[in-house]
Amino acid sequence: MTVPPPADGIAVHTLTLQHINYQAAERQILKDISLHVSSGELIAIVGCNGAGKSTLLHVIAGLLPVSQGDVRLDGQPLSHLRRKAIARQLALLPQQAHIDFGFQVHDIVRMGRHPHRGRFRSASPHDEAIVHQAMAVTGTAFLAQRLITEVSSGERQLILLAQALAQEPQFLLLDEPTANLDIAHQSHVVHLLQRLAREGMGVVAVIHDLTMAVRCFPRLILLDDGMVVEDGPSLEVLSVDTIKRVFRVQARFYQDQEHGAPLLWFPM
Amino acid sequence: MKPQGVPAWASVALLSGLLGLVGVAALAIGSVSIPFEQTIAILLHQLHLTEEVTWTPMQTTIILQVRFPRVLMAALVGGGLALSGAVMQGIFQNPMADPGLLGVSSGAALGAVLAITLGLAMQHYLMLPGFAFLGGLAAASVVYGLATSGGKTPVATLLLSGVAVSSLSAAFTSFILTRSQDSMMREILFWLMGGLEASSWDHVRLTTPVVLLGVTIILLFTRDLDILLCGEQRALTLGVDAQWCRMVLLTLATAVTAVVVSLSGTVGFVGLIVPHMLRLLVGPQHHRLLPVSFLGGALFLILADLVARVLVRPQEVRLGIITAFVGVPFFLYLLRTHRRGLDPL
Repeated sequence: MTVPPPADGIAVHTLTLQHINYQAAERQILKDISLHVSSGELIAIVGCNGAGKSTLLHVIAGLLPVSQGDVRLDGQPLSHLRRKAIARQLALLPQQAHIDFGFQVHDIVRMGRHPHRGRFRSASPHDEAIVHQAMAVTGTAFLAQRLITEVSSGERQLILLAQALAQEPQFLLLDEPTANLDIAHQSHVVHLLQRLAREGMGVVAVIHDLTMAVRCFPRLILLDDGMVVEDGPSLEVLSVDTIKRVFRVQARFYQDQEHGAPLLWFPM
Repeated sequence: MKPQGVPAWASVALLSGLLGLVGVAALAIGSVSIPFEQTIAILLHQLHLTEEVTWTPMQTTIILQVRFPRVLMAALVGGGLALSGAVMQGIFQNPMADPGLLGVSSGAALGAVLAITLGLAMQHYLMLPGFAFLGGLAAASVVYGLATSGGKTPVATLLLSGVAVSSLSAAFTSFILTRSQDSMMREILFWLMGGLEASSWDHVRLTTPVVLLGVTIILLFTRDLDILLCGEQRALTLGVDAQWCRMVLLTLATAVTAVVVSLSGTVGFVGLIVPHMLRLLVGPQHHRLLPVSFLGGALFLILADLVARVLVRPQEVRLGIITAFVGVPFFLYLLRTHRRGLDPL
């Protein structure tokens, strides 16, 4: 497992899952999952539909009560932490969040500062600076005055990413962050995630596009039927044999002539 | 149209000014008309700001004992209903949510109808509002209890239980109505159509602390309410304890509604429409919307009650009828002209 060392001077935080079991309606959805994520890691969770990827993300974020095991942030069990304390360290970008009320985009992103603000404290210049920065890096600054109900679904996704970044989390969890995006925005988001990881954030994303997972994420976690079947460097995890075994698809990898990037071919 | 176009302080200042003006007008106008200056002089005299007396004791009584408590009750009822409505719409992320969503209104109606048919309403003037209040709270508790299992209260289940319990109470009310004598039936119908003619200083003293306390606590949760509109998952990961917030806010909004409805009878429309209108003006952010809704609801109901008093003098039209007559055309006008602003709702 190759962990790129975080930049100098950045404290190393850890996110640990120990023997997690999660059950819903009598069905065992996650089975004995143990993971360790450190600052600066960029990880993709891959697997078939229904393998438990989103559930795993929700368990890591403390949204679902596990029947066994615990999730620890820097050694502290999530269940011992208050919601606001968790939100200062960990942000989750859900797959779909539609907002039916006409908030201005700027106000939506400012909500990301909530965990850092007291009930009676209004947003400080420091908060505003972070909100501004979050919109700048996600390329949503030009939308600031628009209404969230009037932007496209791809733009909304980026705005919610900006909201999550405004939390200044140590760990960022994303559920299919590129699902609604065109290729220009996909590339923008992937570059942003890589940059965040370089700057010391631990990034864990559920990714369906296996080519993207292999090309852009140094570490892959492969889930199958609620279990971690592979965890390691992406090209080792996603071998042709593994893809056949888990996805039941006969795929092939090609090398892109010019960039040497792996491209996944599969019959369709 | 940009909903945030009007600054928050400007809308609050504007509405407060209007509220004062309309309040004094509502004191002056009525079956016995008292000149505007005289009304103000009577109020100033009461505050020991003037010594001169140029009016009759009768006029003082009309202003201070009859109209003043009634105007204050209109303000408290209207403000309480509109603010509770705004809170409910936020919690349920549903534009059709109104303060009676948890069955408070229909429960209160059933309580009131019981008090009337059992003859208890005749014994003490607080029996009727007391029964209405208990009926409202009982219905809301049943709804909340039915919808909760294993410490969780799913929003959809809560809405459905609310609709179900409301229908059941309404059926009981209708049943009692069909079995009662003509004189009682008239009294019941009067209550069901809402009205403030019975308002006294005792009512004001009972209502004010509950409404003000409820409103004050609700106003501490404006940011949480904003964030709840991003959806439960996002709210939880932004550090808002969604379940707890919802419970606190539902309890407060329901208590405020139960208190005001028990004294005013069923006054529809205010809690549903006033927040919608004001969202067009100040946008959805609750730190603006909630104070403005309270003021707007108060203003709206003082005006509606004024119309109810003077429309077919010397009789009174029921308040619930006026709120619909005044409110619906205005709302439809807004709906046509600001379609885009309302669409997302």
